[in-house]
Amino acid sequence: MSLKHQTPLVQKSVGAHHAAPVLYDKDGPVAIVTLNRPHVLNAYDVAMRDALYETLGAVRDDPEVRAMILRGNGPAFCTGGDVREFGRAPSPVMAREVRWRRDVWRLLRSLPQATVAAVHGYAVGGGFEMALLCDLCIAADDARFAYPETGLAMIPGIAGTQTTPRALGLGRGLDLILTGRWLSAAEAYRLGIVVRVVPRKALHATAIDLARRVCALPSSLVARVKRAVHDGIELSLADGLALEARLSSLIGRGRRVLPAAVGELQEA
Amino acid sequence: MKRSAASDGLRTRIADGIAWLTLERAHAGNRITQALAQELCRRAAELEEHDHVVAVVLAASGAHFCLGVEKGGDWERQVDWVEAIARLTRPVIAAIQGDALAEGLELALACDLRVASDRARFALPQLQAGRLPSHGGTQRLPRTIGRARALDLLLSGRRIDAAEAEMIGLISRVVPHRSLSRTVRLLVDTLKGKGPIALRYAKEAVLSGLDLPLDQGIRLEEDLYVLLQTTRDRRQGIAAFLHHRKPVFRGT
Repeated sequence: MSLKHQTPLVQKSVGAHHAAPVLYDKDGPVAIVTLNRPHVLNAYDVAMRDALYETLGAVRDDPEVRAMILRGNGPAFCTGGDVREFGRAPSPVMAREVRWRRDVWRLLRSLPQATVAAVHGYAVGGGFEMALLCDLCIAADDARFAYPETGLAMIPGIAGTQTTPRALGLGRGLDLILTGRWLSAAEAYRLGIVVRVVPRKALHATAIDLARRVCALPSSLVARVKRAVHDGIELSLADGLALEARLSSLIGRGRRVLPAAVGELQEA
Repeated sequence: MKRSAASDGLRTRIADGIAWLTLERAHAGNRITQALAQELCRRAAELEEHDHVVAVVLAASGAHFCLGVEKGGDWERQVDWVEAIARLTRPVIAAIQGDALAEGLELALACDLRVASDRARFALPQLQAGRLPSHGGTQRLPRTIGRARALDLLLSGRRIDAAEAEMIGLISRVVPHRSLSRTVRLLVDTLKGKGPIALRYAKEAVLSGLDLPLDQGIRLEEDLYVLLQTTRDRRQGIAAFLHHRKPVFRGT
């Protein structure tokens, strides 16, 4: 599979030779979304966030795509928000409104297709959080995770305060977020948030292999099992079992169903 | 409030933005009496009034951290001493130099970070004594180490060592006994280097959020995140980061 044929989804204005902050490529049914600001270790700014919003919308709406890989160009996966841009942020009132108007992170975590974060180098702050918003995370042996936010008098802002304790337990969640300590790929694997650790040069092939296995399944099945697990775990067990019953009874009807959220099953 | 005061088996000291609460009933394994429980509640409530307290260390004197509640004593009324610690808005470090058993472990579970000596052992043996843990153990233990391991400890009542406790996520660090004080001080220094309000909001986002459906927890996080944008400390933190220097936070 070749990465040479990448189509920049968002072009900056003519005259400035900036590569697009997010690259989008398709390898058959596998969408490959690449964070592309390697000179700043893929720190994301407004331009990257907007490009990601467009790209993920394209993934969601593409019936050919059955799995998505999220990766980073350069030496790291992603080092979170671009701090240089923070001083120029709008008022807190505006910031809050913008967040919900174009909710890129909700889009990421509610894609119907299986998502695989392929992490190498630093996955720090928002980078760590992005990996946790994907269904699966695989890591190169050099991957390292951390939450540096409290050291800048901030808190994680891409659901990390919610996803981390749910994934790692209360004690470990608080430890990572309060102290900002490093989590190695090996420890992340032991704790269950990373499902494969491989040598750096095998990372992409492993991600593709994992994605292709999922692509062998009917897409509505994948979408439903994702809803069953992600939505169900938020419910009481009784309600979760009822959700599972509803979702599984739709199999074999022969129509493509795109569940958007609990209780909102829409026919394609 | 005095800089350092000891009363009813609890020593309280505030220095340099850190509050040190030390159980001082070593002769009784730091078992909790009604008087000690009430003192814990009083001091916890007072700490909340001190804006400059960035973090709290809960420690104990003697060979054990806390072996539970004092047996035989008749308590006139219910004292929610574990919840008083759990409700502190600042991060709380439990410095566990010895065994934390029964209510002693339930107290440690109400803290945010647990650092232990390699001599420490942990157990919830209440079922073997014919009763249920009643100080949050059945709730905090599964949320910390998962259901299966929590039920294992509850049903077996077995005592696990610090190495196993670290592996299952019950404690965050285990260190050689003589290194415990130093490790706690380093952890305290780490927390002192963070924005104080950010620490409080991170703790709130995590703990309150866990009680909410994910979507609502994310909204809570976002509200606290955005609120932090109004603080001087955040501006300081960003400027320091960009200029490669250490930030100086004031808690505003």
